[in-house]
Amino acid sequence: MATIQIKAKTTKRIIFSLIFLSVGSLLALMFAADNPNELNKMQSSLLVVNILSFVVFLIIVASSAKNLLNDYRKNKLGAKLRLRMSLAFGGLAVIPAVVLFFFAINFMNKGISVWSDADVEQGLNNALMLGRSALDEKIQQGLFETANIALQLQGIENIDLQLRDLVQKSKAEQLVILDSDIQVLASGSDQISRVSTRIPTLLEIEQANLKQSWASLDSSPDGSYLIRVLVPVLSFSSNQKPLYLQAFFSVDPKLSMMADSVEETYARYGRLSFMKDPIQYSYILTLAIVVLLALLLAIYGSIEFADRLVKPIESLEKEAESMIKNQRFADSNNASDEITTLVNSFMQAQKEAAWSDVARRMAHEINNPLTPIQLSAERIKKRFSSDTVFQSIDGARDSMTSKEEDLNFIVASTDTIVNQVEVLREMVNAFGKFAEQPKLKVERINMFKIIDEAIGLYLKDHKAVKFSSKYADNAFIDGDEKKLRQILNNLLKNSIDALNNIENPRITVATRDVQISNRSFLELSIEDNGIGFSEETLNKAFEPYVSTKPKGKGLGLAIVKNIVDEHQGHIAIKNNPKGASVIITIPINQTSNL
Amino acid sequence: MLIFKKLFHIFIAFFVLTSGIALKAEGSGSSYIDSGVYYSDIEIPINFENKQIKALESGIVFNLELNLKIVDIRNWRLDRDIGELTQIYAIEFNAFTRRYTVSNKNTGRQASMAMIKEVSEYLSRIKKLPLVDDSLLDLDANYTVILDSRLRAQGLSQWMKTISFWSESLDSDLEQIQWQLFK
Repeated sequence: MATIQIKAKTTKRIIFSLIFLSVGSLLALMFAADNPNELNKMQSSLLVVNILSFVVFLIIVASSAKNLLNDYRKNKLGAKLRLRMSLAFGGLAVIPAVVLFFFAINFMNKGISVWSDADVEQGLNNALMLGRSALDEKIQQGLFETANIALQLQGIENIDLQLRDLVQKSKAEQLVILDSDIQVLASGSDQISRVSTRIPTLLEIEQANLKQSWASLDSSPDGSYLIRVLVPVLSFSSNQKPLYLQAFFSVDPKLSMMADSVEETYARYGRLSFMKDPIQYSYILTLAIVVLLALLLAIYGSIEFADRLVKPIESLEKEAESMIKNQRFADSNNASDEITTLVNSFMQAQKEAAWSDVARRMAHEINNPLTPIQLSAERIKKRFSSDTVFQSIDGARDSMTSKEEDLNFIVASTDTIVNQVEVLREMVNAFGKFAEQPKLKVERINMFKIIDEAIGLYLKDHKAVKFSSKYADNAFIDGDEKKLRQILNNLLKNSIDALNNIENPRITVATRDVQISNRSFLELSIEDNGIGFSEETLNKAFEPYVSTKPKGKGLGLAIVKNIVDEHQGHIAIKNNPKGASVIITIPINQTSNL
Repeated sequence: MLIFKKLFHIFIAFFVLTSGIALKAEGSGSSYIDSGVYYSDIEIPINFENKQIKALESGIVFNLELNLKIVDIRNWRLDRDIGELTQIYAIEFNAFTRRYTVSNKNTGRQASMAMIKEVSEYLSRIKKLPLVDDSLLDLDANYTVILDSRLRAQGLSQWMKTISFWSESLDSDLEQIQWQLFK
């Protein structure tokens, strides 16, 4: 039993952890959805978390479903109802989730399609072309100016000086002389500028040779733009290797910034368009996993919910069956929800009401003829016991012996009738009292004193029995003194009856302080080494009119249980290896709803 | 049986042909000492595939990762790693200038090219790559330089690459090249 409870607790912990993880994944997905790049970084971990949750959930759900199906196949009580309810609740969750999933995918696909809209692409292309067109004129100016600078160069001597001078006079940011092996021979600046790393490629040299000039828009490492122009230096044609002049012209920073912004947007758009399909698949896959997780959770929840909902009904059904088989009611103290409590209370109330009704009717019906019977018997006795009557009937002294015998017989018989009627009346009164159940008169009472007094009553008449008592710290409880005395008397009497013909008979009365659900109780136990309860008595000991004693009314334990119930307590009986015990638990403080 | 023989011949022919292609594309490397430092000249055949060019033009940045390892190959004993160097080149396309930029992540140097063919040629011939200081080496040892190269698309997580496993992969691993450090 303990193993099952631990298993259930572990399962619950796993489920809660998984729910927590899945909710975390959902939130991560929600925040990451705005930024596909963020999503890229997170999706691997999300996938692992979700797949793990999915597998564990699948195992748990499959196990629950298997148990449910097994119960259904074995026609177990309530299995059919549980299965139906699980299917209904599960269906209620599954259908909207599936519909929602397909709609979400549809909307998501449409949303992603907007990224690669043809109009957006065209617009961005136009923006790039517009930017380039704006710089075309600048490139032409650069070409013209570089060609002029090349013409102004006067021989290779003092070339660095010439270049520096020309940089100052022209709009060029830097001037560089290179040979056909792309070796820098001279530069118009000593400092390493942002353009210093830009050297022409062989293809660009070839282009410059072929067309006598080459110009291009280029980007610098800092993100700004520049114009690069390459022209052959014809005035140095006497050199072994052809030489080239490379000039750099800066682009207006504002224009450069705007061009950079357009390029960045275009690149981002290009990346998104290129990754459209994988992003789409990843969204669908993630959504599918999340939906499947939610579905599994819903199915598991529906099975559990149906189980809990059906349990009290199952219990009711069991109780009904139990009643049919004339068995004892199941102990209902582990009731954990309203329906269970309601069902148990209903059953108990029904049972008590039925017994009360029977008791009341019996008391009434039996009591009515008892008085005339008793009166008639007394009249007969009175009439036949007087000498006058006897004389008038017989009139002769010789038959005196015979008459006396008759008289004695009549007196004895009427006495027996009167006595037995009295016994019957007592019994009827006891039934009546059981049915009446007067309200408790609660006051603070010393249980130890009551126990000692109760034991004291029986000590004198039952000297062979060894009485002993063991007390806990607390002696005081809220209760009805008379009724609690009645409990002790009934139970001690039962124990004494059970000790008949037992060697070394003993009765132990003990109290103990216990805590149940943060409430303090006094546990009273009465233990004897008597014959114990029979199996049949154990099953229906608290039902009225059940007794194993030849002259028992069968109301002792039923009345005890009633009193304990009135005190919001609990009573249990059990057989020990030798003898039996009755254990009563009564709250130390009574609540006001008594 | 005849059909199996024919199939076997076809398989052999295919194997020889494809091996020939592989041999044809083989790279090479050599090392030399200059002022106490060993340098390497490397030739690796880098050809961008169409899907990679398309990805570049779409704004995806590629990294060419060259992992050079110097290993002391020892007889009857486990080989000993002397050192490792990773050289990374980032290749990106600027839609505004319509030019490719190749940035050496180790040195910060940049080169700009108009055509992908130029980029391939530029990256295929790497000259004077500093490897190791002469003082760290034992002249009697048998050092081998092992170069593993790969082209990796950046900005795409492993998850995104996994999800598009059925489509062509943007990443490619180049063949391993080995050469002796000492001539």
